[in-house]
Amino acid sequence: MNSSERLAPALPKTVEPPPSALRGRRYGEDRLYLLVRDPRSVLAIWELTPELHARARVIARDQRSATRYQIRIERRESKSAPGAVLATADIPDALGGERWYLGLPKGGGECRALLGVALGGAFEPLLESSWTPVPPDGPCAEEGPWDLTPEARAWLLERARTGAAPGAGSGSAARYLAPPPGKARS
Amino acid sequence: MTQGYLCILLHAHLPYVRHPEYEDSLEERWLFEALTETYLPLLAMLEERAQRGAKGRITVSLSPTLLAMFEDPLLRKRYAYHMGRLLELAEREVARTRHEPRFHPLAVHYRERFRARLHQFEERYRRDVTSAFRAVSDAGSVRLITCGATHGFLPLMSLGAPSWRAQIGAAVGEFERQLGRRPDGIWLPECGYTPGVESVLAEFGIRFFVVDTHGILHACPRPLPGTYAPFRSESGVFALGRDADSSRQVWSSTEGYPGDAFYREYYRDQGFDLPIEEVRGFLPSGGTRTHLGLKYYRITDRRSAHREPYEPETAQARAREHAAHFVRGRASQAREASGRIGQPPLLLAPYDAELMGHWWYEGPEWLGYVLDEAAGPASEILAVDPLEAIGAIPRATEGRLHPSSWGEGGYSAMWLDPSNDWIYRHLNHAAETMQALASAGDRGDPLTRRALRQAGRELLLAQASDWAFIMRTGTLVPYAVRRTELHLSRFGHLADALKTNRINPVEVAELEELDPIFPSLDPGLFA
Repeated sequence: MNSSERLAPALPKTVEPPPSALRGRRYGEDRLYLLVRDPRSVLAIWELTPELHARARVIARDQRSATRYQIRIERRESKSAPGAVLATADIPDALGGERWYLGLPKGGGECRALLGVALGGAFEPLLESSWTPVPPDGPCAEEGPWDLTPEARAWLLERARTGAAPGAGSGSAARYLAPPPGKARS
Repeated sequence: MTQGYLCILLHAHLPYVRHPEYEDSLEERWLFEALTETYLPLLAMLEERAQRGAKGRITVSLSPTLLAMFEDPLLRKRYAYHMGRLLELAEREVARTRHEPRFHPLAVHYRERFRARLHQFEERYRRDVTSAFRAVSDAGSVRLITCGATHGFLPLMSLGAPSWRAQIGAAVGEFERQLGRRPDGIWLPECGYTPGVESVLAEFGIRFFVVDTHGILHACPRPLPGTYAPFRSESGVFALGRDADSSRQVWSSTEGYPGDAFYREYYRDQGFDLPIEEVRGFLPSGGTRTHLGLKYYRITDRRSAHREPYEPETAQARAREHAAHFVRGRASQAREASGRIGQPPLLLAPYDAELMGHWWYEGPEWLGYVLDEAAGPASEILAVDPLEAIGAIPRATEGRLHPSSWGEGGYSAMWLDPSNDWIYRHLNHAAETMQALASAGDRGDPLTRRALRQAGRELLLAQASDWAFIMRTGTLVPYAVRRTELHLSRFGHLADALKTNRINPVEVAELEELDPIFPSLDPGLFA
């Protein structure tokens, strides 16, 4: 199962992961993790046991509803602030699946994922991840103290604007054996 | 008058690759190539500076996996053999090109170069590269710092502090064991920072770390001097941000020095250019063509496939010119920034060490010339290490940092992508399991302690950011997948044995022999 083809273009392109003996392996535990990819996309990873799946079905049946799994991403500004739902995604196969990318309408703050069943307008959470910091979309609105002339301030802000593009400098691409001649260095 | 402080930092890292099960492994050549083209030439440059008492200091982060490989008797022996073989090939090339005046001097150049490296490694260092680094550090030419134990990308470790503590604690322990003192600074693997990491760094006495430019520029409150001032994090550990201008000058594929027409072309190599029958004996088992380090051409014109023969003397002259240009540029930048922010700025210029020499053949010489230029009587910048800069620059900024890295996009996209995201559920599971096992302790039983320690090693090795990176870049993917699976499988095996208290001493010994990294690893770090 891969969410990337159905979601926002900013999310990663669908790539068939390499074959691995680990794919699909289950540990017999209920777990939900949230990994932050960038300010506008996160990845929920989970394992759901048949027992929890059975419980989800009972919950849905009691509400006369089909078992419709959903992932919700909650966001809060800080540890003391209340969380609010920022993004949701319906998951066709929570039992067999294991990961799902979600786009976020804004960056910053902290997010966590909830995996549960959608019951009409309600939501019954079954699993929750821990809160994870999300990078902001850009510079902080609040300025730190530093005595500057207006001209110096403008100069520094302009330099920050041109130098702040994340990932503008290269990283550790040059470390391993090179590809054969004719293929450029990544 | 000093207008600014230039901190050049080289991050030296390779994943832990050691295959006693094979006679010859393609991936072990990563280390051999980097030794020949980067680490030994850098050491030679630093030693020469130390001998003449030259001013100026750079910083080098030596990753613990690299230190482990420097120390490994098998890899030392194999490197000496590899260099002997390369020297043999170079001798043949000298003979083969004797009637080719355009290439013969180059064949001689490589023969002399390989001979010098082999002598440096065998006779001068007695195969002990770590002690050579320690010596140039003691002489004041370099400040050595550490990195995550196996280069695990910290922001994607869901367990947070316990996982960070294991990566950082193991790294600090190894640094101390091998270099005789604790490190003052750390290169966070891939420059990957997420809030909370700085508290763990403080626990281990680390005083500074590095983040990418936007790591500082997006901090709260916004630090107006940007990367020009050290940034004091909430734990008191300083974060230093990469200077975008210095970086662009070297890294940029369009503006960067390494693309100069007179510099050596990386991609043309006799490992590919010679008839297969002439190089087969020098290629890894199986005869896969690969780079052998004998490269006879210069870049010439990047818009065309035509290449002219390489001229080492001309390239050296260009390196000297580029060094002067670099230092002039930094001095001008420092002068301007200093006038604006009211104090000399910090200019942090971090590069992958392997860029110097391996990719950019003339890189180590360029670096030496940069240090000479910066030490000149009229120079307005001082080449210092981060601690010297922090001590000399009157005022720091402070606040909260947000997650960042130096990879593509500036966050976690390089290591979290449909090509590699499948590994994290398994890594998380293993980290949680290890935490539970370590918390339970060894009950005073030596075998249990050995099994716990080995389980810790396997987990750390599985966490290396290199595997996700390789899966993402698409080269050598099966190797990266195999390594991830292998270490997780070995971990799982040990974890099951520990849980059921059915530890087989023979199996533990076998794994200790296969992955003998971090001999004094403390399993308590994982609790």
